[in-house]
Amino acid sequence: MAFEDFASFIAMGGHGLYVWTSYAVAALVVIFNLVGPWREKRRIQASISRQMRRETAAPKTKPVQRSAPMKPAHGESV
Amino acid sequence: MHPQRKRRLIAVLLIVLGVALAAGLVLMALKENINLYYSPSQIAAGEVKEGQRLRGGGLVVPGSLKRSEDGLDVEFEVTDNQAVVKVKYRGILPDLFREGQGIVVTGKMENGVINASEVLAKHDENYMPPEVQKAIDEAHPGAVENTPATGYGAEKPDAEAVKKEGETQQ
Amino acid sequence: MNWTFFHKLGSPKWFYEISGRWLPWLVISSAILMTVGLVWGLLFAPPDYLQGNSYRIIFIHVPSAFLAQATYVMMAVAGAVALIWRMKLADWALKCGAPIGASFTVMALVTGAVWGKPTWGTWWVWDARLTAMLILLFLYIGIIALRDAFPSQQTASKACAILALVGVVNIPIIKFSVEWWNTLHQPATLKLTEKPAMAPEMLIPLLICMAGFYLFFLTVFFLRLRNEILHREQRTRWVRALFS
Repeated sequence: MAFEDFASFIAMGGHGLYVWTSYAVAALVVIFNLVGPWREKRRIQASISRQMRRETAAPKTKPVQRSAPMKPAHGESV
Repeated sequence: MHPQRKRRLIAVLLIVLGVALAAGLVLMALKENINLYYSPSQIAAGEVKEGQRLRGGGLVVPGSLKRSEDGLDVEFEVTDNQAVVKVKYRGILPDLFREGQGIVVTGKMENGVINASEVLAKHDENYMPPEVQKAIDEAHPGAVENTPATGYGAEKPDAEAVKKEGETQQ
Repeated sequence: MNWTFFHKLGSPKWFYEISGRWLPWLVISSAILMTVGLVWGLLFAPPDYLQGNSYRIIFIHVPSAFLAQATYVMMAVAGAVALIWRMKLADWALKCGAPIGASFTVMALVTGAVWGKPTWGTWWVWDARLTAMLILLFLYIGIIALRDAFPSQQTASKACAILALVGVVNIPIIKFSVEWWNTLHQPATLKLTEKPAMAPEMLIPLLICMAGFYLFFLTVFFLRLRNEILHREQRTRWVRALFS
């Protein structure tokens, strides 16, 4: 072990702030790269499942009809 | 290979070669401007005008460091093993500054001396534990090349370097 | 030459299945190597004779800088394949590599700046190495932005592939900048032809970290590419079969 105790490990011979800032940035980059695709995966899976449920529930109803009644409501509020 | 693919392959190769050629020519034309600093031999050859702001760099000549009484004004010489240029500086030197070490200074040319406003320390690509460095110093006393002359066991003119060394040893 | 391998590689379904089998191993091996390498580097590697403990930033700085460049080369190759063979998987690989490469470039730049302050005495200097690395970041951002700049997906793919190919000229410039010009950044410690300029008790953890980060890249690259495949192929029978 290169350090005698925990305090000197944190201090890094006076360069603790620099060393730990770097490692914090590295941790953020690692987390960004893991969380990004993980959330994207859940979003895509949910969207595909939703689409498939919609198609099996009402094979002839197209999403266009659903949005039709929304339009007047939107128009009124403007 | 399909003739159409072959055509596209040639197009891709031409793009890469063309860009490489263009970049190569531009970089050659800009060669001097891309260099971060002037070497002492360039300065000795008169490439820097009097009063011009510049960056200069090289190795600190061992034994050339002189400090004023308050310790803030320093003078030292920088070399590339061909020519030597004198540097004056007022301020705190970086931790890694020591004789034999590479440095880069920003300043103004005044009577053949660089009046520096900033001193940056260069370090080389070698990494080793202090014990190994000590062993090298003992095997080749006084070696300047690649290793700082003020390594382990040598006399240290720089109070800060001594302090740093103590921290490193832990 | 037998092209079956190449044509298989072009099949999103084949890639999705193979990468799914590889992923658990990639996750485990990258996690183990990164943990071992970083703990070794932070706790057990000796301090440097000159820099003391601040040199420990090397264990994340060097892997991220290598990956930033390797990812770009991979994207340029993918761009060439997409242009020549019209392979859609190559185009998606180019798209998925960009955010990962950009994030590693940011990591290399930031850890380098934070390391530069205590060693050089400055966060930043416009020397050839640092500037070329900043240009690499702009190239990544350009490729990401270009994707959304065209109404047609095909035009966007082509533009991204060409930009990736044009920008690859920057990679040898980054690599050799420290030899061609005088810079504040020191020359390379790890060389292909010579012995590395580093004591073995520091070099071994560094190499372990690099292996760990490369495997980490493969892991997150596969995660992104698999998402892209699911998204683009959501109307195909094989994707539907996965969800029923």
